[in-house]
Amino acid sequence: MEGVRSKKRRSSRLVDKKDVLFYVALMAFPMLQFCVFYIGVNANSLFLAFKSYDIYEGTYSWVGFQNFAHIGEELTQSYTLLYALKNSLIVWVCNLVFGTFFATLFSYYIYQKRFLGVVFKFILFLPSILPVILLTTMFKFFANEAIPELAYEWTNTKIKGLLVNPDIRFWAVLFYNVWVGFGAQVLLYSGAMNQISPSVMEAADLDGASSARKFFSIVLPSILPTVGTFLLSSVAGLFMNQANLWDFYGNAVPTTENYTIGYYLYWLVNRNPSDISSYPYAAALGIACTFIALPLTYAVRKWIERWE
Amino acid sequence: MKTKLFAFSTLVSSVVLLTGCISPASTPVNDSTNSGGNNASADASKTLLTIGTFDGGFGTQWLSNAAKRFEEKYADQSFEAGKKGVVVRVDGQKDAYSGAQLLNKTLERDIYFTEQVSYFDFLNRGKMADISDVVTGSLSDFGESKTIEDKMDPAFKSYLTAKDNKYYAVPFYDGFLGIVYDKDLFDQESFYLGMDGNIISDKDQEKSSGPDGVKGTSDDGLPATYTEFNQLLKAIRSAGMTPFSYAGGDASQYPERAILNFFATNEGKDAMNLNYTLNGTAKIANVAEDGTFTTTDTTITEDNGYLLQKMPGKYQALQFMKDIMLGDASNFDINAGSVSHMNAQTNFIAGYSKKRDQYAMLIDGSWWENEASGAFASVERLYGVKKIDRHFAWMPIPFADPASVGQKKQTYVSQNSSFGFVSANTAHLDLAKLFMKFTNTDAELSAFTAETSTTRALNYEVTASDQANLTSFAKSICELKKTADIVYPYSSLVKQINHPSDFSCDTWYWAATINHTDYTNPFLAFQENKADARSYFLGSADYHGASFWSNLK
Repeated sequence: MEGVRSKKRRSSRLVDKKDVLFYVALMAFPMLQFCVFYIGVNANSLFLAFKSYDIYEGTYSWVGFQNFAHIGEELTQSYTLLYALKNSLIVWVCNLVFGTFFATLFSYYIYQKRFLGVVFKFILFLPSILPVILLTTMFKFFANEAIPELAYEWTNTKIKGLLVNPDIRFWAVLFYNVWVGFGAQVLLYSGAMNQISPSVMEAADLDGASSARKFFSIVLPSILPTVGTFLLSSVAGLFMNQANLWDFYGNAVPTTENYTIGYYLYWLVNRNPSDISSYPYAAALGIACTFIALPLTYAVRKWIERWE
Repeated sequence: MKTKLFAFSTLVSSVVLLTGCISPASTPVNDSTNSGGNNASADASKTLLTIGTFDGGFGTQWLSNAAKRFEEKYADQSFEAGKKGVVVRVDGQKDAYSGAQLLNKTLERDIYFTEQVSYFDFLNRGKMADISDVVTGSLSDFGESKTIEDKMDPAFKSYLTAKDNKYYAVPFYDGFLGIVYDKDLFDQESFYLGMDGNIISDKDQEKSSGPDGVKGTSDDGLPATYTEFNQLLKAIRSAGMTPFSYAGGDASQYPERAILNFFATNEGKDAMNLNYTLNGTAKIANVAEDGTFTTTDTTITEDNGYLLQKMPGKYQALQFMKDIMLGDASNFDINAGSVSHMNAQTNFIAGYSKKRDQYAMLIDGSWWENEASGAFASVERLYGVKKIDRHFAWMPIPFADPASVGQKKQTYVSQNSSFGFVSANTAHLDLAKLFMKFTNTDAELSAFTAETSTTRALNYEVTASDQANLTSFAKSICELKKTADIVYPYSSLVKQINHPSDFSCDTWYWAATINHTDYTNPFLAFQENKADARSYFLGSADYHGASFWSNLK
């Protein structure tokens, strides 16, 4: 009897060991990735913000808060950061207001299985499955070459491309950003709407509720958690959004008046691909932005929790 | 069952781990793609030498041709035990072989010819082999008495040896930007200036002596001053043509880079070199509100180098850009800034053949003709006009001051960061060094020019046989190289080495702060009426003020 028990214990220990090995084998690679690409990268950025790079010597040295002091200097000397902040907020608000507003309406239309709803769903979601660089290239050619050509054919008037014309280029970029983000939102919201119990909607129908009434009283409150999640993630990414400016203009956005914070950070590290000396300043600016975005994100989260 | 599951999961995890560990960087590049030399596949009886090159405007053909000649020359020589001869494999890739990409990769080729090279970063990471013996050694094996170092501009010598007095790279190609003109169109329409300073009415009329002030040279009839250039633009517009074709997007900075050579020509090589030595006396302009200026001689040191932002030649070049180039809206197509540089080239080439939408000049780099091979091919396909039957030439730079005509040399700034180097990882160091030497002999430098219609950033003569095969554009580039002064924007000062972006030509010469807004492109600022020449000039001094300077350590 004792022998059987001992055999069972040994077998159980063996199984335990195998389970541990299995778990370790399964988790090792994701954990390694997390350590390198999240902890390592962010820790490096954090340290980099307090360093400077000497290209001649090929060495980094600690410079305390010097990079942060340069942010202050830049704020007093040029409007680049202020323009970038303003534009980042404009992009965010437009994405949020127009994007979310129209996306919920379209989602509701699709949810109600109205005429061509599925076709709209397909058309709207199509941009989301194509690579962004392909879409931006298509839009660039359309806005800069096709539209002037069409204008010339139809009205015999020569006009500048939408992304070149200084009066409208930022609005063209804005339109593109709202349009390109639309499909993903529609998919999310229509998915959330499909979770609403059909019996609730049937009850509303029996009570004679209009479409608008159902939308504001049932559908919108039901999908608020999804809208909230989208809102929260957009606040967290406020300063990372380069609004596809790099894809449209590369490092040559015509003036700093059109920068966003995300683009400026991108520009700092990519304007001269063979120069890494501006990485520390970009890291400091990134941390400064985090100091703004972090409390903002928590405040928005609190606010969303109150809705829910 | 559990054991089987465990075994299976371990296998899956191992495969995932293994595939994850093999990054694209460590995967050998497929050698079958874009290989050159006269042997696309490796011959095991010969030593294999691999070369990576940036496949941009210069292409790879010049290197493949050089590789073939090298293979023939050393067909009977052994470079490793048991093997005789050499196979040189050329691998041309664009982004993958740019200096910026290579910096963060393991170098798998023996030699690289590329651009965007941050020389000191490569050095500090130990990526380049010491080739001092190649650069300073005799080329007598190739029948030359000079060394590669002798062919280098002093700016290159001091820059390349600034770290430890050793050479790790050789200059690659010249990158001038400027104005290319359609010679066929100019001849057909007689877009030349006569002795009276006006455009001639028929081709038999005597032409002016051009910027060099000498009759009977290739620049006869071309504008020698800004005023004459304006006359030319008027004549082109009157003929119903568009004076300039130019591109937007990645090439939107071509106009300012072209105008930099107007600035340099106004100043001369010695004055321009002050921007890189920060040691000497410069003329500094004080521009009055009415646009006139006076100059004062100022001693430039490392402490006050930012004062060079007020060089008068820069103000004059900005005036040219604002008042002449952009002086009339029809000098450019309204939508010019939307097209790609390839389309701008196609528009420029095709106009003459299709007899409508004609452009007289193109703003582009000295490499444009090689880069436009596809455009030439499509023009031939559509209109039956071959590249060999078309004639283009480099427009010499007119002078701001008429008194300089025939007195001052044209001055160009070669704007790129391109180098050739031997990888420190090479297993065939001696052979790689020999190839590097070979490609820098006069004969090979001349062959490079014959193949690409442009020049390497070294001093050499193009041989008569290569000259005979050059296009008219390439001949004009060779003449430029022979007669003009060339500034190579490299400095051995630590302050400049440590801030390559701040001292890049685009930023150092053209960044400006106007009404608290930063600009790096005067052409766009003028087009959008954000500034005039004076405000841009002063804005440039504001951008690079004392506080900017004090931040550069």
